[in-house]
Amino acid sequence: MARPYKPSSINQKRTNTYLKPLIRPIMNDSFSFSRLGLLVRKQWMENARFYLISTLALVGLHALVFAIWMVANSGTYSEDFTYAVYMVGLFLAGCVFASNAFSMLGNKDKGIYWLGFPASHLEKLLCTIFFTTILFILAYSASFFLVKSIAVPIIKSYILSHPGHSWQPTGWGRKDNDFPTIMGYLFCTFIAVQALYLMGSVYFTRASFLITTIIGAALIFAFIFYLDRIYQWFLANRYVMWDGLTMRTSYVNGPGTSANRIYHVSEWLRQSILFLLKFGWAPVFWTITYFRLKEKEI
Amino acid sequence: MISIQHLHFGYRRKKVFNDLSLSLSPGHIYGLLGKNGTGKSTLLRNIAGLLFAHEGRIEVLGQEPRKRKASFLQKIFLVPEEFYLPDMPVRQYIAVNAPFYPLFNHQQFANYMKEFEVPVENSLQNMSYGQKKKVLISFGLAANTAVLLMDEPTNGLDIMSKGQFRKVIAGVTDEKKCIIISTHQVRDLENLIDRITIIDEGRILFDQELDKINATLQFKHSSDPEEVAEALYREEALKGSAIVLPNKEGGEGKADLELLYKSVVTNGKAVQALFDQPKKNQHLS
Repeated sequence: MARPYKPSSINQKRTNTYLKPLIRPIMNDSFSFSRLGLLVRKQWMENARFYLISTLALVGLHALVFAIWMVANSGTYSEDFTYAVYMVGLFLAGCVFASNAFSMLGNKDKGIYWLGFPASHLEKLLCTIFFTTILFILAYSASFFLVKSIAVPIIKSYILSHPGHSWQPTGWGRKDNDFPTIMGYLFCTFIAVQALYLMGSVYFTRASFLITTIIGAALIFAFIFYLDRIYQWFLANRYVMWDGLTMRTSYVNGPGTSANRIYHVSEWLRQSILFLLKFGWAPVFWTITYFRLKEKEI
Repeated sequence: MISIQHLHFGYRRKKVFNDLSLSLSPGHIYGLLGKNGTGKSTLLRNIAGLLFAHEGRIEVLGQEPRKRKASFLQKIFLVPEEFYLPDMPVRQYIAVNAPFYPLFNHQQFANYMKEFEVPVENSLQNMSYGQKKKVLISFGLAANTAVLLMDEPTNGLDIMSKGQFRKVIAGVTDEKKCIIISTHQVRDLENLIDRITIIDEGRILFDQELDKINATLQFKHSSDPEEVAEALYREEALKGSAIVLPNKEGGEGKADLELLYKSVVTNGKAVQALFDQPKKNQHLS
């Protein structure tokens, strides 16, 4: 049975607790931790059902993928493959989720409700990033590892009773294993790509995922083409190493002999550039999203 | 409190406001009247900071609405014509939204909900459009914001609810609060507003306080052909004609908002001329 509404007791008391930090120092119009906390709470309360159903759907999808893998695989069950599935799913689901993050701005009624709400654009953006990136990664990873923790023992027991099958673990601690490094790079790439889709959801209120994918792909191709042209024009007959920061040229240093000359940027500059390439994209996209939100009209 | 100076605004293909200026002060309930598509909702959204002026300046409570600062948004509440409310119990809606409005009063909210006869225990999901609108209006009133904007608030309300709405609004005026109600259903605002602003073709066609309207114009039914012929506006009624006349008798009558609106729209210059001659009108009254 529903509880009767008692404004003087329950709710007034509850409100006073939340109001204290709000009434006292609305010192900063741009950011307030207490307001952000309230906003996160509001977002959760308003969408809890959707988030829980989405998490269950992720569990179901992972279970389906693992089931197909278990049945269709013959021979070696490589743990690396499960992480490849994890990454592919993370990119797909994460980008679809992010591209719907600001879908309310495509709807006048919801847009007015959201934009007119007494919180700053920064708080609204941080709240959205919290749900679409942090909470999503946690929910996605939890659903993946839950299914994996159930699937792996089943596979191992299946292998025991079926000679000819084997289980190949990833071996995270092995020194010669590049897999953890690659996963780390992929994770950074995911944060950047997801931030791009988040930005796309503010720019394109309809078919945001598709349009962002098309424009993103076009920009990447244009960038690669541009780099290729630069390379052809300025660095012909020179070999640029895979990291893009080291270059090798060959020259003749005697009759019938040649030598290589290696060019590389200083270590601090190399580290700085790599750091920016790994972690710089997402903040750039978030910043653009912030300014786009500020100029959004409904 | 609200100052709009030389506002120019338009959508891609349509110019809505062309050098519109308006000043609104606290302690009043303003009625914003106009035909469909004349820009009433657009004006409210400009004031709320949801749309940005192309030219001109809007200042609300000393702030620029377009910046949508948190301290500004917590002092203004917009009840849109078409609105969104999340699917959750009313109690929960209040619990998560009220803390953002420092002056929100739970007792007031409970009273308004009682007045509107909407059970607070219900979930928004199971409510009709009219009931949801009453929840939103109650929330907007209980938020006690300095500026309350209402866009067609009586749309979707039944006859009884419209009466409840008038009663509730009449009880919330105070000297610090500015309420702007936009509507094309002028009868819904009778006995409620104290200043009328009529927008047409992107400009202010008429903007007068109700006391002055009552002192300047006379609204009556007449069967006298001479009187009907002199009227600023006339329309046939069951008994004779409903007419709008210059108030030569001096006494203050009761403005018929629908007739006033029609007379301004059809014979605006003549009506406005009466208000532009204050001294002449003064001796009449």
